[in-house]
Order: sequence, then C-alpha cells, then structure tokens
Amino acid sequence: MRRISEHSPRKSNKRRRSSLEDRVFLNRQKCYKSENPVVSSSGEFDFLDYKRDINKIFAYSRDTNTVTNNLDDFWVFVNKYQATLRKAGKPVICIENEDRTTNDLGIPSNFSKFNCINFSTNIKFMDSVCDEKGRKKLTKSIFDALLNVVSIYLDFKNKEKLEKLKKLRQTQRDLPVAKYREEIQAAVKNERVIIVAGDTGCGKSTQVPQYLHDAGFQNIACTQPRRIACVSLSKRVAFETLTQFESKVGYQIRFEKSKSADTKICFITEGLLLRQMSSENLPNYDVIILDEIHERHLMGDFLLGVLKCLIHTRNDIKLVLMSATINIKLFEDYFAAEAAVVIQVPGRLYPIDLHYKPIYIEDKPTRDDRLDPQPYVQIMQLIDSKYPSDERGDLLIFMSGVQEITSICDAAQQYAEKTKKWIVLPLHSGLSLNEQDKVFDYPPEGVRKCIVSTNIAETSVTIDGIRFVVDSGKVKEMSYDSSTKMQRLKEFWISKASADQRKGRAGRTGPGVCYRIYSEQQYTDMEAFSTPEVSRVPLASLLLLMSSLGVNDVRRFPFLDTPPEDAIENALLELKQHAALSSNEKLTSLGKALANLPVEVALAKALVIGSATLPPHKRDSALALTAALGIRSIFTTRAHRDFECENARKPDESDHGDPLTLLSLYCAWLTVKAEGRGGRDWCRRRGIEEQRFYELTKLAAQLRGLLQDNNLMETVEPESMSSAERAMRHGQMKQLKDMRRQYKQKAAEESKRKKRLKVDSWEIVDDKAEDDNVLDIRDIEFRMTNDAQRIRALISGSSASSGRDLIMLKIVLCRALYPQVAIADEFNHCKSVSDQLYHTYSKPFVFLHPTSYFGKNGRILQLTEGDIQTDTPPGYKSKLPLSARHQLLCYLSLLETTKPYIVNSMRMPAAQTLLLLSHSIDTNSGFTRLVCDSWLLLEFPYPETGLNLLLKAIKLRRRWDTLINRRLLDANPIKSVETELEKTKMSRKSSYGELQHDLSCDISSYMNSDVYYTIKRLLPGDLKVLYYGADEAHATIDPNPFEEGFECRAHEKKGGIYVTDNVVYNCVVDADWSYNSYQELYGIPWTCPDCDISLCLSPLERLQHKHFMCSSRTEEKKVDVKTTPRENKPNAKEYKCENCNEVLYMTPVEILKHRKTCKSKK
Amino acid sequence: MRLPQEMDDPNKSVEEKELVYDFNCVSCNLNEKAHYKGTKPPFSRNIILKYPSYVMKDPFSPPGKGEVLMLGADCAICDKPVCISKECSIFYMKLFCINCAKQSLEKFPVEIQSKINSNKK
Repeated sequence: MRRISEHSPRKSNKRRRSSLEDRVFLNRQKCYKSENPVVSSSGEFDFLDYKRDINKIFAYSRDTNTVTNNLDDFWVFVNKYQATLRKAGKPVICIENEDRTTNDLGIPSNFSKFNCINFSTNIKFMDSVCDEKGRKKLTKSIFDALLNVVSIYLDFKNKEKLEKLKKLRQTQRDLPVAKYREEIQAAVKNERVIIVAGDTGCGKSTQVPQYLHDAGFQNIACTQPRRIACVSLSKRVAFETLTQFESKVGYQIRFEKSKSADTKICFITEGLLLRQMSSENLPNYDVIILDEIHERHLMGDFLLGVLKCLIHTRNDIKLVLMSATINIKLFEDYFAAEAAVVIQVPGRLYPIDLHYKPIYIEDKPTRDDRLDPQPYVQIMQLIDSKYPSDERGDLLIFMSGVQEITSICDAAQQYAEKTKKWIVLPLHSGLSLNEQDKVFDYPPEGVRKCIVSTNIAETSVTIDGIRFVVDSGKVKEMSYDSSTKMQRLKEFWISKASADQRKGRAGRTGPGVCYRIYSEQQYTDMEAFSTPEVSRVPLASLLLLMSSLGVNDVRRFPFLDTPPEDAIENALLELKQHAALSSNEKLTSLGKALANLPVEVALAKALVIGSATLPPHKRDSALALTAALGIRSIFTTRAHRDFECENARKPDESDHGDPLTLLSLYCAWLTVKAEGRGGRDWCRRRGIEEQRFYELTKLAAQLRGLLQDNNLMETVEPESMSSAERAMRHGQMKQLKDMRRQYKQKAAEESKRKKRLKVDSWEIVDDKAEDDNVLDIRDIEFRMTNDAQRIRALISGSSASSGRDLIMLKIVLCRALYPQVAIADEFNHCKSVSDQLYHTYSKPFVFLHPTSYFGKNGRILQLTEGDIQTDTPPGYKSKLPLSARHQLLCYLSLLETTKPYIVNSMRMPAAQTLLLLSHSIDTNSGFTRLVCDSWLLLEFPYPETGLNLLLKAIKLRRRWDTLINRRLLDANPIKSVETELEKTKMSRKSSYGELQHDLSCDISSYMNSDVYYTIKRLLPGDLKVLYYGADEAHATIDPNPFEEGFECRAHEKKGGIYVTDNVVYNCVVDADWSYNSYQELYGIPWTCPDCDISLCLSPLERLQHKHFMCSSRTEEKKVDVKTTPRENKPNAKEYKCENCNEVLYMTPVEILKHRKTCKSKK
Repeated sequence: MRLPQEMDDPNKSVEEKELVYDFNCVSCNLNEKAHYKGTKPPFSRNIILKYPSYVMKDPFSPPGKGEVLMLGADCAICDKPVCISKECSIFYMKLFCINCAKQSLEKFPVEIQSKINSNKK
C-alpha cells in the first residue's frame, strides 16, 4: 500500500481542505443531475488521504467481512475506481440522489448507479480526533461516500465468486461422465455391484463419489492404489462439493488421516481398507468404490476377492468398481454371480496417428545387444522437419529402465545442443522428487520437452501437452521366484493393453502421433494384458493378511487370477518357518501380531522379537532399522556414482553391513536435525533423498503406535517438560506454524505461476543458492511433530554402534530374517571384490550387490592370516581353514538384474548364529560334527568345544523363546485359569527387565565366544552319505540334559533322536578324525571334576551326570533330582557295573549302553 | 422448493440447526444450497442487502471470516428464483429475471433498458 500513498498529494493539501469539504456538500445537492466533475483536476479528491481514519473505523467495527479480510486489496480497488472515474471525467465522490419516488415496479424511475448494487453496509461512522497537522479530517459525508464504494467492492467480489462457482459447475457438467450421472445413481441404488469403465480424464474418480453422495449415500469409501492420489482427490472433491473448510470429504493413508465423524466421502488406500476389514470394526460404509482396478495391484486384486465375499454377508454394502477400459470382461465375469452392471463412459481422446518404425537387425551398427539410441534421435529430427516449431506439443519416450533412459537422454541431449529446440528430461522413480517435478514445467516458446520415461508415465503420472509418443515396446518388470526367494528385474515385451495406453498419452490435449519402435507383427504377437502383480511378487505378507482376515483355506480363495500353485505353497512354507502359521496352517499368536504390521513378514518379525528382547530404551533402534528396510532406498542414483557422495557418507558407514549403515546415517541425520542445521544440504552431499528419512520417521512412529495398540510394547510416558521448556516449545511451535502458513501461501502463489524451463536445464543444476532461502515444508512439519527432546530420545534410542546393543540388534534382525543367510565361496580369497561369490540355502552362486557395503568392502568378510589356526589338534586334517572368525551374511533379499545379487546384507559370526537360529541341527555322538539345516557342516576339532557351544545355544534359544512367548501371551491374554496361573508364576519369577537384561548379557557373551571350527557347504552328494539313516534300535535319552522333560523321539529319516525340537543327536556319521578323537577321549575313564567320580562315559552321559547325578550338586538341587528324573522314569533301577564297579541309577537302556561303553574301553 | 428444510444432523443442537434453501436459478439452472434468505445475513453483520436474497457462506473462504456469497433472489415480478449473473437477471433496487425485465422494459431507466437489451438471451 505504501506505493499508493506515495502518489497521494499529501503535502500540498493543507490549504485546500475547507474548500474541498464545501464542494462535497455542494455535490450532495447537484451531483446526480449534473454530471460535471465536482472537483477540478487541479485539486483532486482522494479517499486514500483518509485511509488511516477509515481503516480505524473498519477495525473498530469489529466485524470481519470481505473488506476487512482484504483491506489491501480493497484499497487497490478504491484507487483503481477513482482512477477510472477521473479518466472518464466523473466525480470521485458521488452522493446518492434524495429523490425516492418509485414507479409501479417499486423502483426509482431515475437512474443511479448505486441502485444497481444490492449490497450496502451499516458500518457506523466515528468521529476521530484529528491531532496531526496537515492531515485531512474524515467527515461523515466522506465516509458515507466511501461506503458506497464499499458496496461496489462487495458487489464486485461477489460477482467474482459467483463466476468461480459457475465455472466450476460448468467444468463438472462438461466431463464425459456427467451424462451418466443419473444412470450411475440409479444403478447403485438398484444393484449390488456396478462397474464404471472409463478412460483417464473422463472424471469418474472425482465425480462418482459425489453422485453417490447426492443420491443419499452417507458413508462412502473410495480406494486408491496410491497414497498421493488419496490426498489430491480428497482436496479436489472437497473443493467441488464446496466443503474445503469442512470435513465432509476426507482421506486416510498410511501415515495420516483427515477424517472425522462428519466425513461422508473418504478416500483411502487399498491396503488400509483391507486392514480395516481385519479389525473387527469395519466402518459403517454403505458404498465401497474401488478405483483403478485395471492396474491389477496385489492389494487391489485381493480386495476385490474380499469384497466379493463380503457383499454376500453384508446386504447393506454396495460395490462400485471403476476401471479404465481395459479388460472389462474379466471383471464382469468375476462378478457374474453377483450380476454386475457395466456402465461404459467414453473418454476424451483425440485421434492419434500411428506409425510402426521397427529396427531391423541388419540396420544395427553393432552386433551386441546394446541399445542403439539413433532411431529415437531420428524421430526427434523427423518432428523438427515435419512440424513447425511454433506448433506446441511435447515428446514422451517410453523406455524400459534407468540405464536405457540414460543412454537415450545422452544421445538426445547431444542433438538438442545442436538444434537448441529441445529440453531433454528423464523421468523414473529413482529421481528425486524435485527432479521428477521438472517434467511438469513449461519450455520456452519454440522449444519442445523430450521426456524419457519408464512406464511410470503410462498410468501413474499424467503430463499435459504431450503430442508425440515414442514407444520402445519394452518394460522392465519385477518377477519373483518363490523357491529361491529371489526377485528378478527383467526386460519384457509389453502387452497390447500397455501399448495402447502408451499410445493414448499422445491424444489427451489434441490430436497426436505415436511411433512404435517395433513392427505391427510384434504388436499382434503381444500378450493381450500385462501379468498381474499377484503372479509376480512374494505372497507371504498377503497370505498372512488373508489368514488374519479369517480366510481358512487360502488355496481356495476366489482370486481374480489365481497365482501359481508353488508360489502359494512356498509362501505358506515361509510363514511356517517364521512360525506365523502352525504346522496345520493355523494362525499363531506370533502370526496374528505380524499381520497387524504393514511391513513384510520378516521385518514385522524383527519388530515383534525386538520389542520382546530389547530393553525399552533401545526399541527405537529396532523400529528405525525396520522402517529403514521397509521404505524405498534412501539413496539417489547419484549416491553410488559420485565419488564425493561416497566419501561424504564414509564416516557414517558401519562395517557390520547395510542395515546398520542405514541406521547410522539416520542417526547422523537426526543429529543434524536436532542441531537445527536443516538437513537437506547434508542429504544432498551424501546422495540421499531426504524425503525418505521423513518417511522413515513417520513409518517408525506408525509402527510404534501399532505395537503399542497391540500390547506388544509399553507406552512410555514422555518425560515431563519444565515450564521453561514448555514455554520455549510453545514459542517454537508458534514460529513453526507461522512458517508453515508462509510456505503454503507461497506455494499457492507459485502454483499459479507457470514454471519455465531453461534450454540447458538438463545440465547439472546448481540449485543450492535458490534452495537456501526457500522454506522447507517437510523440515517445518518434522519439527512440529518432533520436539528437541523427542529427537534426542530418537537418537539415543536408535543408535546401536557398539557393544551389547549392537550385538542384540543384529541378532534380533538376523533371527527375523533367518534362513536368509549366505556363506562365502571357499575360493573367494583368490578373487577380486566384484567376483566374490556367495551361496544361500536356496540359491548357490550369488554376488554381492556393487552398491552394498560389502560389495565395496568385501575383504572384511574374509579371514586374515592371523585368524586361521594353523596349529591344528593332532589327527585332525582338513583343507578348510580352521578359525574362530568365520562369518555369515544375513541378507534382506536377493535380486537378479544382470547377475543374481544379495541386497542389504549384514555380517554375523557363523557358528554362533547358526546354532542359535537353525531350524534343525544334527550332530554326531561326539558333538564334533554339527550340521545346520542340512546345508552347512560345522566341525569342531577341539574336544568339547562343539558340545559346549551347542549347549549354550540351546539354553539361550529356550530362554529367548520363553521371553517372546511371554510377550505374545501378554499381548493376547487368553482368559483361562491356567494361563492366569502361568502368568502369575512367571511374573513372580522375575520382571521383564531382568530377563531381558540377563538374556542380552548372555547372548552377547555367547556371540563373542572363541571357538575354532571349519564351515562347509554340503552338496547333494555329501548329504547322501551324511546320516546313519533310520534305525529302530535307538535308545532314548533320559534324563535329557538338553531340555528337561522333553520326550525324545527318533528321527524317521536321518536316524538318531531328537533331544530338543531342533536338535537331532547321533545321526551324523563320523569322519575318520572324529571317530579317532572320540575313541581317544571317551574310551578312557573320565573323572568328574566336582565329585571325583571316575567313569567311562560318552559326552552325553557326562552331561547327564553333571546335570542330574553329580553328588556335588547342592542340597537344594537334590530336591530337583528327586522330583524330576526319578519320578519321571519308573523303570529306572539301581545298577552295579561289573566293569567299573560303580553303582548307577539308570533305565535298562542306559544300563545296556553303559555296559557297551565300559566294554569298549577295555 | 423454497420451503426451508432442516439439515438432519443429529450432532447439532437445536439452536445450531441450520436452515437450508435449495436455490435453483430458473434461467441457468445453477443449483446450490443457500444458508439464508433475506436482507441481513447473520454470518456477516455489517452487510445489508437492499433486496431479500439467497445467501450462502462463502465456500471459497475459511469459515468465521464473515465472507458471504449472494447467489440470487426471487424475481420481483414472477417470484421465481434467479441468480445474479448478468445473463440471467438485472438488478435495479430489486432483482428481475431477464425475461420479466424484457417484458417490462419501459419501466426501467433508459440506462438499465440498454443493459437489458444488450443481453442477447
């Protein structure tokens, strides 16, 4: 406003004041009749001279209205109004005519422009004291004159708003779907299932929910496959229903919701609606709309099946399916029993000129398979020569993957530099959000955008102004091999449906052209539709969710497309291995807990185990770690190419592997945040997409909430703040809210302005400078939800860089991921880092991913000279290195691109991990050869070392299981007398805290135990001669020193007997060395160090002696001895051995065994 | 059509119950819900309308700011609701739908007559 008052002739006005007022009054009488200017041009009257007084009156009136809300705008209006009048030679002040005679219509027969205005105001005039010399006094008459201008302003603003409203209604009416409004409403009222098929742009997503609401439906859920669509649709529909400031239209997504009791239309992600179904209280929806079902996402497909079942039990729910016009028949047939009604809405598509431009083999300059960018550049040349550059229209090129995009971009960029007619922009999901947004900006006049994209631009991202489409016909798609649990990223020909979708992108804003870089024959040969996700992805999470939803037999679930049988079987097996399902495929309490967590099964398990095992102040580490592995990669494509980025990350890398590096980077970022140093720049220097860290924080918070809701984690009261801290936080919040408001205003302004691209914008952009002044909305929101104290707590809770915390966190994650472990190839020591081979249980010969920590630092996994024990025990010979430092890799996933790779791996001490986590451990009688999961053979040549380690592992495993089961039991209390008793018994024993502490102390000392062993991967040939095989004459072991009270049973195939659920004793055949060492060690009498008894006993018997019979056992333990072994075994009796003259208390079988050993010793 | 209907929102207390008018312009079919009909809209105390009109709380502004959107009024001659856009009506102390205004053309001041005539509808 300053600008305007500068123009007002304030200084020279003093003398003119009285005369001006006279003229005003003069004007009152004659203004209307004579149109002469009242104030001569020499001494113009100006309302702005009275601005201060007038504003004062407005402020005093204590009312808000259009004028007071937009005071600045109002004064601009006043100024323009005056200027217009002056230009037309009319007086600025014009007082209404007093003549009130009216005709038979009740209107004055004389014209007054004020009579054309319906608005008037009743703001009261106030006489203000004019204390300042030289300022003009505001009189009532001037104020009244101003009120007339106010009325005109109100009227003007009102018309603007009405126009906006009418324009909105017009746009709605013009949508193709609008013609089907009544038809859709009637169909939904009368039928159960309705399919609305219409192509992008027909308006179904925004309009159909409104139509249904208008038709009287009160609780409408509308699903979307993407979170972002939920938010933007809910905003748009709220605007269209004129309720943007109410909560009638809301959304609900993974991290947030804007929904209240008033919400009538709710946009929700597919996954979330499914989870609502699994909780008993499904909101009382009367219509469920499933949008974009043609995309065939896993969740969407599954939701269709669930709803197909649901509408049979819930007569009050209507189902509306919305799809593009792809494969409508499939959905119609699927809902044939429910008599689905199909309503087809034609889209708005302009004609598209189609050209096939295949590359023939002989045209290829080189023999290899490498992509030749020339055909693509030639099309750019063609467009330049054929279409004048003043005709607008951009080019969209579909390529299969990032590499292909890069090579096309490079070639296109060279061409663009010559012609200066193109701006080349890549588009794929690996780009940062800022880079992605560039494709929506506008090129300068005479320049076209050339967007080189993956299939992300096929349906997910819609770019306006595309006139030319080039389709490579290829797509890179993830497939999944359920037997090896490996994902594969491979290039395929697209489907006809995809090809048509790509073509259609050229005809959205006007007639277009599509070039296909393949032959018409190729098109004919394409599959009709793309493979749905359900046949390409891991199914374990889905099947677990199904089980928790009460699907009894997942094999008989009515899938839209039934996934391959072995994919289901392998997923079920995986769930059983994770103990989420029992052996008869019933949901376990662990499974129930896992199903509630929206991350993949193994990660959910890490959370549940973590919350049971880790002390409360360290649970954030498990949450952060899980969340870090549960989100997309935090690294941008630059992260692994740019040497600077790699160097900048170095200090925060953990030599334990990728998961801990992620955690450590996150903690470092949190520290930057806590110090208020922004973070965006920090991330950019390290090649990290900061957005991912915000997502990580949100996911971790959400997971914490879910664990707490399910009683799997205690709610920790935040430390109370001192009043000073509270006041500071209050001030900070106020400031942050201010900043957020500023940002939103700015963003709103910016969105109105078109963003211009520069011709050379594809070059490395140095946007540092502009970024620094820009408010970072995510930073603001992060600071609003996380105060300094919270961030500090997160840092201390999430960091696990050393000691027991680190060991516990690693073993928790490893237990959750098991059996996903890999062992190094025995010849790795003589190969370069990139050729290092690893073997997993299901997939031999895999490589370390070049971007992973060990992919760059492979040596750390190898044994050094010093690690290898050369001084082997006598009689022991092996080619394999004997060491206490063997390591395993525990990994999150396998991915095959050019080679099969291990992704996200972490190193673990081998024997300790295997003995603690293996599902089955087989041993020989001397406990020198242990076989884990029939895959890895560990040999412990030093006597007793294998047995001791195994014994420790078994005990720790049991204690750990007890702890986890107790946590699960507390989470799902079954109200029965027994469990109550059990609980009171347990709680009497010791508190969680103590148990956790003791266990973590013992586990960490166990993991650090120094034991020499060799490790070998067993091949099918080895397995054939590894076991004794079934033998009915096997003795039972009683008392059982491994697990008291465990009833031993023979293994049907391997031979030997189970001594715990996981350990089979005496089924592994001995090697020469182990046989000899057994004979040497156990063939001679053994003297118990405690009771000095001397006997010839096998290692197992020695154990039994120590545990149950040794006389040195203290008095109180004798009670145990009395109660357990003797009572349990009625057939035990006293026995006096003739050989060794010992009196033993044994069962007949044991007596036989004893005799045998005693004899053999002789 | 013009009878006020009560919003059946059980959450609102009796005093808060709003009257809703179904406003439907005879000329352009604009169909909106008005919150008030009269000359003194209660949601903006300083605004007075010369002719009783249909008013809604401005849907494009946050609530509580006193912003209103006057949609139209019942025509002073035929008593049918009409919106204020210049294609549909003319205002001169009262609101007239364009049809009635054309029929009573000579009763308006000449300035208004030319405005009415300039409307091609």
